Amino acid sequence: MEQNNQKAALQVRDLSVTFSLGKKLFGPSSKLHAVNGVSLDVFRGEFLSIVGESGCGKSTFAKVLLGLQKPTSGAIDLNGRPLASYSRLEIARQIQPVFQDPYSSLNPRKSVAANVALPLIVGKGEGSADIRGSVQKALDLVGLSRKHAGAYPNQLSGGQRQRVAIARALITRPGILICDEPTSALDVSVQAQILNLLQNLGRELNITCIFISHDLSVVKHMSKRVAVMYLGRIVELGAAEDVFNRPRHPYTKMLIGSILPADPGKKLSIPTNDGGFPDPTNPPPGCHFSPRCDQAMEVCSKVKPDLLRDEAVEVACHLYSGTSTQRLAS
Amino acid sequence: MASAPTATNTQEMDYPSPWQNAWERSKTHIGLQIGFSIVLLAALAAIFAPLIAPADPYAQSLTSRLLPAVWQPNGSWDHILGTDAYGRDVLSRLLYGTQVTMIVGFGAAVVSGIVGSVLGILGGYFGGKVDAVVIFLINVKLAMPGVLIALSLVSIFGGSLISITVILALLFWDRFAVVARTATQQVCANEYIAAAECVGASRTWIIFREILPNIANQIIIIGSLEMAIAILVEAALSFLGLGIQPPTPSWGILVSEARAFMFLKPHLIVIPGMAIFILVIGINLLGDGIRDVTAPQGRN
Repeated sequence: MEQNNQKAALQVRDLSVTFSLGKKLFGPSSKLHAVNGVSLDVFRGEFLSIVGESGCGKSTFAKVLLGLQKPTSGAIDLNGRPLASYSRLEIARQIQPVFQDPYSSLNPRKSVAANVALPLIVGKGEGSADIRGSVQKALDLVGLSRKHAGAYPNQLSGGQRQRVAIARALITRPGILICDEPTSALDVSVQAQILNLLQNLGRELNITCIFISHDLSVVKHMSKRVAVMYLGRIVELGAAEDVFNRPRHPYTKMLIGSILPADPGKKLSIPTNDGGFPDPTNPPPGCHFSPRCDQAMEVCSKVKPDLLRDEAVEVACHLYSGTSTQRLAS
Repeated sequence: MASAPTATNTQEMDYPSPWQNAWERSKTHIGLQIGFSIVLLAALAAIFAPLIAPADPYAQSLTSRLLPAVWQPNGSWDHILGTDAYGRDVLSRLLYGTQVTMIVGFGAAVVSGIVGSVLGILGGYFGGKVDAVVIFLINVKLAMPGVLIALSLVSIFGGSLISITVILALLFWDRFAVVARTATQQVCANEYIAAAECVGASRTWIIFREILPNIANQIIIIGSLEMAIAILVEAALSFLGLGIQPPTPSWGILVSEARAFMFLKPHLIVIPGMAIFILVIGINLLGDGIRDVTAPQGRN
C-alpha cells in the first residue's frame, strides 16, 4: 500500500494495558485486559479513527498515547524514538488531547485565554511576550473572536467550549491530535460544526488526527482509515471506504448494521444470537467475539485469530485466515 | 486560517469578569451584607478598642460595683452597660474582649485551615499510601475526645492567647482535611486536570493553579464554620476557667464572671452572650455569602 512508503508518526507494537482489580483473600486477583496486544501504525497527516463499543479499550489506548497511563507491555515509537525516552514537555509539544466533555475539560476558574495559554505557560514560563498573540491566533483558528478571550468557561456554550479546548490543543502546534469522543457530549447541530472544524484544521495544519468514537456515521464521514476494536483487540483495520463498503469481520458487519438509517421506515437488523458484551475480566477464549458471532466455527473459541491482510484491509477472523497468504509483519 | 467556521454566537456582548459578577451578586445578597457588616463592626471594635473604650477595662473601683446600665433605673451615661462585680466598665471590657475573641477565632481557623487543607489536598491528589496516612490521621483525630484534650493541654501549657489559638487549631483541622480531600478527588476527576498533565504541568502547578482555586470555596465555608466554633469553644474554655486567664477580658470570661449575679443582674450575662451569638451568626453569613457570590455558576 502507498501508506507503507510514508513515515509512521506513531508506531504501536503489541501494546497491552492490564488493570488488576484488587486482591481476593482466596484465589487469584482478577485482571482486566483493557488493551490486549494492539499493533498499529499511524501515518503522518492521516485521519485515523478507532471505533468500538463502550469498554473496548479505545479510551485506555488514547490515555497511553497521551502518557496518562503506563502501558503494561509493548512499545510505542513517536517519530522513530521510543515514547518513554521523551520528556513530559517534549511529548506535550507533539501530542495534544481533545477530550470528550467540554464541561469538564476547561478550568472554570480561569479565563478562556488562560485556559488556552496553559500549554505555553507550562512549557515556556509565564510572561512570555508572545503568549497573547499565540492565544489570539489559536482562537482565530477555531473560529472564536477576540472578545471570547476574556470570557470564562461557564459563560460559553458547549460548542464554544469545545472550540476553546481545540484551541488549547493546537496552540503548541502539535503534530498529533488525539480526540477522545470530542463530540459525544454535544448537540447534533454543534457536532457537525466541531467535526468540520477538526477536519479542516487537520488538513490545513497537516495534523495527524487519531479520532476515537463509537459513532460510526461520524467516523465514516471523517476518516481515511478505521481501526475497529473489540475487547482490547483490533479486529479490523483498513481504509474507511473498504471497511464501510465491504466489512469483513462479523463484528464490523454488526456495528455497521447498527447505524441508524436516515429513513424512518427502515428497520434495523437485530442480531439474533447476541449474548451482549462479555465480561472483560473473564473474556471468552480464542476469538473474543465468538460467543456473539453467527458464523462462529469450532476453531473460533479455541484459537486467537491474528490480524492478517485480506485484500485491502487487515482483519482478525478465522473466516479469512485461510485465504490470506501475507502475514502482517509484527 | 479563515476557513474555519465561525462560532454561532454573533451577539456582541461583553463577558463580565468573575470579580464583576461577584460584585453584582453581592449587591443583592442580603445575608452577605449583614454578615460582612457584623464582622466588620467586630473587627473595627477590636482594632480601635483602645480609642473608643470609655474606661480602662482593668480599672477596679469598689465604690462603683454592679452599677446598672443606662436604660435601667439609676443608670448613668458614665457606664453605658453598667459595671461588673469589681466595678469595671462592662462596655470597655466587651470592646477589649472583641480583640481576644477575633484573634482566637481567626487565628484558630487560619492555622487549622492550612494544616487540614494541606493534608486533605495531598491525600486527595496523590491517593494510595499518602491517602492512607491522611485517612489514618483523620481517624485518630476523630477518635480523640477533642474538648477533653483541649482542657488537659490548656492546663499543661497555660491559657495564653497563643497557646489557646494553637490548641484550638489542632482541634479543628480534621473537618478541613475531610472536605479538602473529597473536593480534591472530585476536581481531579475533571478532564482539565488530565489536560494539565498532558501539557506537562508539574504537580505543584496542578495543586496550586488547577485544584486549589476550585476547592477554595469549600474551604472558605469550613473556615467560617470553624471560626465560629473556635469562638464558642474559647468562650466555653474561658467560662470553665481554663481558657484565657482573668483579668484579661474575653467574652467567655465576661459570661463566667457574671454567672454569680445571673438573677440579680441578668444583663451582665446576656450582653456578652448576645455578642458571641451575633458574631457567630455574622461569620457564618459572611462565609456563606462569599461562597454564593464567587461560585462560577452563581447560586441563589
